Amino acid sequence: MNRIAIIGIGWFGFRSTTPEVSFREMVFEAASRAYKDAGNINPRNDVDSFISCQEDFWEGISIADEFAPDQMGGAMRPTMTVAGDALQGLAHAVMHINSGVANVVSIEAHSKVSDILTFSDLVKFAMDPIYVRSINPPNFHFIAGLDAVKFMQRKGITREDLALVVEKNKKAGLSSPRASYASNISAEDVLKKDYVVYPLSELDMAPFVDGAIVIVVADEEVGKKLKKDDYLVIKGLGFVTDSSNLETAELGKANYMRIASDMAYRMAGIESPRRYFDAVFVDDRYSYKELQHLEGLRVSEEPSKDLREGNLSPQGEIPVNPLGGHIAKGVPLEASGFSLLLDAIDYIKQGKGERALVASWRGIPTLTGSVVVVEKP
Amino acid sequence: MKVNIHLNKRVAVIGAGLTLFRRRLLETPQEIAWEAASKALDEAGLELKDIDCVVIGSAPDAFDGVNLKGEYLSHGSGGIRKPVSRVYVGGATGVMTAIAGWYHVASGLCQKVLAVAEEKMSPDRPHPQAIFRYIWDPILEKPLNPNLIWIFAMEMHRYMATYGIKKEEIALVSVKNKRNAVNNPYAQLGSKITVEDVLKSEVLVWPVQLLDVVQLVMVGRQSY
Repeated sequence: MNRIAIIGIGWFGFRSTTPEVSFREMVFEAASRAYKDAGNINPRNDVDSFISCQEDFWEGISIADEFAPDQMGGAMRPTMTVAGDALQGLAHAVMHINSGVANVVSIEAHSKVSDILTFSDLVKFAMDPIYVRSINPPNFHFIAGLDAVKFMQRKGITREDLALVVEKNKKAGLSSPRASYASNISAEDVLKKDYVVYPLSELDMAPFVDGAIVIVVADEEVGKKLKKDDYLVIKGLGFVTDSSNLETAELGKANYMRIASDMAYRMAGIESPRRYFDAVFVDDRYSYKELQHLEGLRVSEEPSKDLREGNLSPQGEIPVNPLGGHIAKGVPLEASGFSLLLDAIDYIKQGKGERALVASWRGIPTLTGSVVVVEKP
Repeated sequence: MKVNIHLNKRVAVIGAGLTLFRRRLLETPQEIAWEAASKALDEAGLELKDIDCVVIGSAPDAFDGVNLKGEYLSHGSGGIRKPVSRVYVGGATGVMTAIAGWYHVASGLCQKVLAVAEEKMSPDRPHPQAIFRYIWDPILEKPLNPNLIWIFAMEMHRYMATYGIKKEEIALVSVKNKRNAVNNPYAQLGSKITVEDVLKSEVLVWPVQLLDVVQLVMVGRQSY
């Protein structure tokens, strides 16, 4: 597949609540900014296809995809929804361009989670109705608890390690304009908290956040014409679902990240990810997940050792979530992958590195991950 | 806008499978998906391990009563430890599933794709029409509590008035399509009816009558 250029980015929100806008107005704001960033393009003429990433139950609307086109400029144009993480939507955009149906594609993902009154019940609705939902778990985090314990036992990871991840990411978020939940917290503060589900406290779990992100991608030749050299390229990507049935899934391991990243590395010709990347932006919606995902991505075989030695800190050998990750910014539902990609783009544009790895997970109860290799042309 | 008249790569359909279309199948959505998937694999002479990517198409999550329906369906669709994604364009999702299957191959990402479309509507209470109450703009339209047939009636009225189409002509569509389905073993609504039968059937929302519309079914369908 050919390399694809990221030519425009726009975002709005990253606050716990956004009462002044509807989800469509929020996406309109992000889309307007993305089209301006892409060289002031007119989406009605200059964008060939439009992709939204959303799920009915998050929106409270059945056939929510019908509400995607207008705010992106996609009315009466080729518009589709990928019911998945934004990075899966990005993969579809890359396929649109490589199959020849489009030169320029706009992708949106958003979260208006503050409108959801019964989030926990909606997550239960994502569980298998016969085998899992029927046990009526009082707390959907129990799956993360099981996964965390199994992972920690296998890799010798302690509660203190998880607290160190929270401390690192909350502090790193202080340098991000999108990190509503950043703070100068210490590992001791985390360890003092009660468990929500063993071994996770409230601070080990990223809160949810409202936000919208629109990214415009193009065939690299088109990107050069629009932006000269002011663009980044997608050199590799992968997305994978492990067994979606919990009873047959392998908890304690991020198999989905391993397979997805192998796919992305193969595409990008990367043999040693640890040496190749300048920074890693990885899903940390539960503190242990950052470490588990680093193992899955082949970035760290002993993540707790790397963590304790400071190798994963913003000034370390391989910075992980140097702009805070989800723990500092919050989880914007299906825009989560773009939230991490946005950090990677900022990081590169700030001159802190040239090559970044972005890895997103869809959260409980899924075992789906997406990986993108993004770098300077 | 780019119009692609020179496709980069021709893509072949090498197998297909279908479940019965029935008012109430007892299988779970995952089981329906797998029944169709396994038939398609058999016809193509392939096994699941031969498949590179899986594309799932399914419309409202509320029909099956499952949030993140693509994730749930992936197990039944053969999407285990493979690239899996679900596409969605309202009532056109079935065709979009095939289109997405096409571009998975044409783009060079995969060579063999299992494209799966599934819908199970019978669990809905009191009726799948209740789900359609939540497809409207929540601020401007939902307070009117419209349903689908209400919308079809307005559209049919406008269409008949604009183009001078008669009720009898529209009834012929039902007569033709139901007759065509009589020998289709997967169809549940095939029958030999007349224009008169259509015009005498119950008025739902004028000018839409019962035999002008399709009753809801559930189905799983796949192709490569």
